[in-house]
Amino acid sequence: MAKISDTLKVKPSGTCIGSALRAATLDIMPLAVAVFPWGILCGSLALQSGLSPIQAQFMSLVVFAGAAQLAALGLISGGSGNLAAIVGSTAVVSARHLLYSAVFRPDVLALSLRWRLALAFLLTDEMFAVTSAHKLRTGCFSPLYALTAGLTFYIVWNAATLTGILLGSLFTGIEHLGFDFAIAVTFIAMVVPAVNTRPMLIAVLISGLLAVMFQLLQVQQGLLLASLIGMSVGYLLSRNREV
Amino acid sequence: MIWLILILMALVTFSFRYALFSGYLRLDISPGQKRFLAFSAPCVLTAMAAPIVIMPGGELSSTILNPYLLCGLLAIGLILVTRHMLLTVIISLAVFALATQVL
Repeated sequence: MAKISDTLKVKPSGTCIGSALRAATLDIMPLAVAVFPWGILCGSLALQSGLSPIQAQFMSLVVFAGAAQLAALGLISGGSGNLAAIVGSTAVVSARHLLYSAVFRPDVLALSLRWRLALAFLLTDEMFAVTSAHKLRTGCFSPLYALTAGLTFYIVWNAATLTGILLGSLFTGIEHLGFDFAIAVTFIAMVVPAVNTRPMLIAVLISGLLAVMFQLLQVQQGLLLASLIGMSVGYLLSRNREV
Repeated sequence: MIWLILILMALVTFSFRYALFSGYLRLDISPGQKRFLAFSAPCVLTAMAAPIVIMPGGELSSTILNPYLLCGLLAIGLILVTRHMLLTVIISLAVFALATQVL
């Protein structure tokens, strides 16, 4: 959060000359390597959820959002995959991108439509992380840097998905290894480090508990309700704490 | 059906990414809205993970000796200690694979 507020203070300038291409590729590479196993997971789980290889690759090509993809695959294979639940969970998982685009908004509004569409499509947690760090370092936002970082990540993510599809169709039968657990453990590893305040802890506990209760009671849209109630409680608690 | 799901998902993720980049929309998000959004990903991911771990197969497990619950707890412990996502996932999955054979 400190990083985001620092980034906001930097004046947009737009004229960044330098080796943006190489810097961006080098900066995003460690993050791209780290995401590779998740791409493999996404590709092979997609097949096991009943997607064709083409559909599995198409998902990474057009959706390009790891957490949202895994969440949707979990819902599709769990049989609770009605359209509203999948689209709803995609929306809640994707909502954090509003935070990132709010930070880049002053820099991006002056660019052409084509640039804004491209940068929006390539906006991920990782692209945001390296681009805002670069902006902080150099004092200006470089569209070329952002595009290169985003595009590199996009290519690696899709290569990883393809690897998963190839592995998944080579080794049939890994579905016995509990692939719903693979999704759950991935989410646990993503969430726990983000729980760094008491309101966040209470928010996720409430969401988890309600999600279980709603599923037991077979409440329609239980996943969305559980998430939104947890978010609201966390928001109210954090309002009392700060500012 | 799958194609429809994929296209709708793509539209939703792109809309959130592009909304604030669009010059037409005079959207701006307040600090309060930002604070609300910061809870979104952790809450929805937990709401998806909890039922998988706590009620595998769709019903509450009657015994604590179930690999989902045990390995879920193991994962929480591992990520707290190591702070390493990939390591946590690999070890938890390996133990889970073993546990489903044994238990």
